[in-house]
Amino acid sequence: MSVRLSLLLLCLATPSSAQDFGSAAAPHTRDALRLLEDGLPGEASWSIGSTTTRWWGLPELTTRAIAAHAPMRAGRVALGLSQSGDEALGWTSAALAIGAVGERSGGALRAVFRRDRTLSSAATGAWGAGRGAEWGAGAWLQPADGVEVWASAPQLATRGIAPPLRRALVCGVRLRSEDIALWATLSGPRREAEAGARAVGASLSSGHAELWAEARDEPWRGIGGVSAGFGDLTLSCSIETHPRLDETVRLSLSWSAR
Amino acid sequence: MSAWRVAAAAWLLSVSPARAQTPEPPPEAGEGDYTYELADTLAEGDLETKWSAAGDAGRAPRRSQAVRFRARGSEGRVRDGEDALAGGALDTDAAGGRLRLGRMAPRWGRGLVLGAAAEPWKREADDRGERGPYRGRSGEGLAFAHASGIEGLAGRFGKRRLAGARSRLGPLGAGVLFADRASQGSLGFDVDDLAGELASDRRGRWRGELVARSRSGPLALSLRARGGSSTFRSLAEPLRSGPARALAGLAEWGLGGHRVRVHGSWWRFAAAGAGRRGALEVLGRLGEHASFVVGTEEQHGSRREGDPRPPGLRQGLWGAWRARSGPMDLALRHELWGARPFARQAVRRSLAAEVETRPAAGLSFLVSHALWRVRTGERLHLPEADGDRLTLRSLTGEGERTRVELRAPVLGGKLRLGLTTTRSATRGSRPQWLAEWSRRNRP
Repeated sequence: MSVRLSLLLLCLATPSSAQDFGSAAAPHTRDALRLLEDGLPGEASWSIGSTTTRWWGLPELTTRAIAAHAPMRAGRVALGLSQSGDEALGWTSAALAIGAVGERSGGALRAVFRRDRTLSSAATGAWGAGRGAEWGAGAWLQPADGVEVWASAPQLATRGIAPPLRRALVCGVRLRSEDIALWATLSGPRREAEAGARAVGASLSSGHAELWAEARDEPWRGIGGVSAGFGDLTLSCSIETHPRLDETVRLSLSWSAR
Repeated sequence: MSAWRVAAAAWLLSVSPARAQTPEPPPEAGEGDYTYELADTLAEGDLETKWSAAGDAGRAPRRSQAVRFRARGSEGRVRDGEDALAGGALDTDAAGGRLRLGRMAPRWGRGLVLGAAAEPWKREADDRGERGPYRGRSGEGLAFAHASGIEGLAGRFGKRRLAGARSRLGPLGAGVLFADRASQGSLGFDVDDLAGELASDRRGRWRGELVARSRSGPLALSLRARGGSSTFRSLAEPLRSGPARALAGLAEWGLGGHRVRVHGSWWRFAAAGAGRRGALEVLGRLGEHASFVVGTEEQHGSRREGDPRPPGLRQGLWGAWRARSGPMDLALRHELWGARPFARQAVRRSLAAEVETRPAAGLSFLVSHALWRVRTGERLHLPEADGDRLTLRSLTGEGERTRVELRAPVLGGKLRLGLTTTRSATRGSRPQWLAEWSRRNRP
């Protein structure tokens, strides 16, 4: 439990927007990982995504996740598995998201179930004895061409052991032309963020490559990422800096049946 | 506030949109939640019945029933049970006039004697008189208004029994209100661009208010001045007497699909207890199905009489955005108040989102979520529209509120099932449920 405690303490100093299924792709990417993480549905193709996150330069705080996405007409379903930390102190998560997408809007419900890896597979008992769950929702809407507004509340309710990261409601707006996207987000107020956390970001895409960067406050820090497509495969990498801690590095690989 | 700060505030809010400024509860409201009843009207010949039950952990369910109808010049409503809006009223044509029995919220002139004097930062009290967006509940009794302009009423307002009469002749009106051993008189007028009222009691205490309105093209301007004795209290609603002296100005520009409002006011209750406010608000439309509001306001001093610890400077930024696309509505709202210029040193802050989707005809699913963080000694009012009412949730500390609601057509009516969870650092988690069925038809 010390890993979780460490992560929790670190998160108190650094409001974060992702945990078990955080993707290295640009924040506006709507893939399987994003659907599970934020409840924001989007892509209309079958896909599989995997991601690895090394938190704040600590090898023992590594998260690995895999997710699959299936479109069914307007419906969107995603399933995923994630493991964080080492075998003695880490935890495993399973996630499910179900949503729907219209011409200019979309929304989904997402649920994550967690259990400590040290918990015996035969163990039974109440929530809280090494088990936990959370559910949330997200939605986006395009009020005009090139404009998207979204809201994501990934932890509307929790049960059992507390989630490793406390995630608040996040609202955002994105403006997009052909190759350029600009976005801004605002997180709900929390004890660790007196005035809330704001972020602004931009991305440039050219052909199969995309470069993006985001600046956040509380405390001030930056995130940069790059994605490159190779046929049906997309490889993404992102690095998040921090004024007091080491970098958080994410690497994601996804396959999509285009 | 300098121009660049206003511009910066507008820009900040335009990139982090939310919903409109939080309405404020009236002066008589305590520290808890306050519920306004929406003043919607039935169509001719409609009969509406409603059953509801609500509860939370550890308490027995609270049931209530309501019936409303409108037919042949009569309109009535009755609501009983454990409900903040319980009560009834009947309006009907009678003897060449209009008769009302039951709950009422009348207003004479500017409301100095009857009907609540508007707070300086408002144009009129929202829940008094016949034209307000909310149906008030200031008294209970019998009232009659004859078509000739003579009206009378008798009833109980708060703990006081009252009777009064008023006569209107063209733009002029004069009325007298009697209580146990007290009386107050009112003289008023209302012409196109000018309205006013002068009120006085037996002991010579008086109060007067004058409102001037002007419109020139897209610009509308109104100025209001109030003066009088600081000890004057309305017999009907003493808590809503408001400050003895006030000056207020409101300008509105219509700019195509947008409107800009600028408001400034100053007031004083007595020798001590003054305050002032200034606000700028922009209301706009984005296409056919989206709208937004952004605004900023600066407040100083007491809002209520006798406030032992009036807050110092409060500067706020707020924004709202709502849009519809196909079967989905999305609304966001953000509010930030600080004790230093440009809303720094935050004392109240909230962020809320609401999503409603309608997957099939008559069926809808709503999820709303709000977070707040309020400094000790401060209070935030989170507006929550809920069927026929608007509830101002009184919040303090840090917490979050989640509401999930399902609406479906059942048995020829509408079924509403809701679950609300409020989590706060001080009270823990409190789930509440609601089940309501209503039907509107023609008998």
